[in-house]
Amino acid sequence: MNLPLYTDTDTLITVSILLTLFTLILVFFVFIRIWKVLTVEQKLASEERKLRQEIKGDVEQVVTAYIKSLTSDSTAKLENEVNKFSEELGRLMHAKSAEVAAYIEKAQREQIKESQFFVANMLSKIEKDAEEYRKNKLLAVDEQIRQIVLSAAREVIGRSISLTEHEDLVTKALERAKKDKVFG
Amino acid sequence: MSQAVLKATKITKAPALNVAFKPFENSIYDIRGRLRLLDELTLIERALFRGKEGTISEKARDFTNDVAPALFEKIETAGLEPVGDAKQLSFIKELVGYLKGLPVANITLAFAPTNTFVENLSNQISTVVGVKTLIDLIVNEYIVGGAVIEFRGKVFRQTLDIPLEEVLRREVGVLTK
Repeated sequence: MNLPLYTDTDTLITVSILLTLFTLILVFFVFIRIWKVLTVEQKLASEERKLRQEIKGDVEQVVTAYIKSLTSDSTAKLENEVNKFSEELGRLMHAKSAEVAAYIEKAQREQIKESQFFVANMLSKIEKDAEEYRKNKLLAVDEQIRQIVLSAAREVIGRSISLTEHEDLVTKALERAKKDKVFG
Repeated sequence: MSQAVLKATKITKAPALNVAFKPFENSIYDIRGRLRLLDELTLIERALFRGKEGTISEKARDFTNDVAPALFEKIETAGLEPVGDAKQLSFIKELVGYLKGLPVANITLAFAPTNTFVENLSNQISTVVGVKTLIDLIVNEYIVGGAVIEFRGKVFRQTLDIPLEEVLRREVGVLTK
């Protein structure tokens, strides 16, 4: 069949237009499909986030509960241990305090004993020193009295001897010295 | 003058000198008297060699009027004094040496004695010793009475302080006990 030329061209144009339209429609559908995919993807991402948050909340709850349970266990155990330790400590302190009391009592007894001994010694020493001091003082006083009396006696006797008596005493001393060969 | 010279003077002294020194020796009895006489003799030494002639007593008149000129007069009368400055100086030096060489007895007394008593002591001791002996007197009331005599290293003590102290110590000891 022979088609007119213009017909061919028109047909071509028409076909071309149709093809273009078809292409556009295809592109449109592709675009719509992509859009849908994107929308779904977005939705999925949103749901994923939501789910994540939910899971996170659940996990937190579970963990908190677990920790709570753990903590409550530990606290109880710890309280128990503390109570046991307190009891042991109390018992030990009681025992030790008794021991310390006994030690203190013993130390006090020894201290008193030592003090008594020390005081007795000191007293004895002080008495001895005092006695010695008294004796020394008495001796010193004795010596002082002697010196005073001697000095006074010398003076009195010296004055009471007359010049003639003095000369006689010297003459006698000289005679004695002669007899004793003092002058050779 | 040294001790050796003094001894030599005593030993080699001529009899005439011995007689000439006698008046000087007799004029002193203690070391104070000897010191005074020695001072005078020192003054008389200065009187020599002054251009004067005559005896020592004549030359000494201008320097001293104490006992020495009179003593010199005595020996001049007896003709015992040498003539001339040099011989007179020698005589005086020998006299000084002789006087310095006289023995000394240290005597401690409890009282201040009279000069007569000291002279008497000197005479008594000199008689015993055989040569003129001078007295070096110390007065110490502490000895109360009696004397302490020291002569040529020997010491003799007869004082009242020792027995008195013994008695008093005994009596005071009784009192204070």
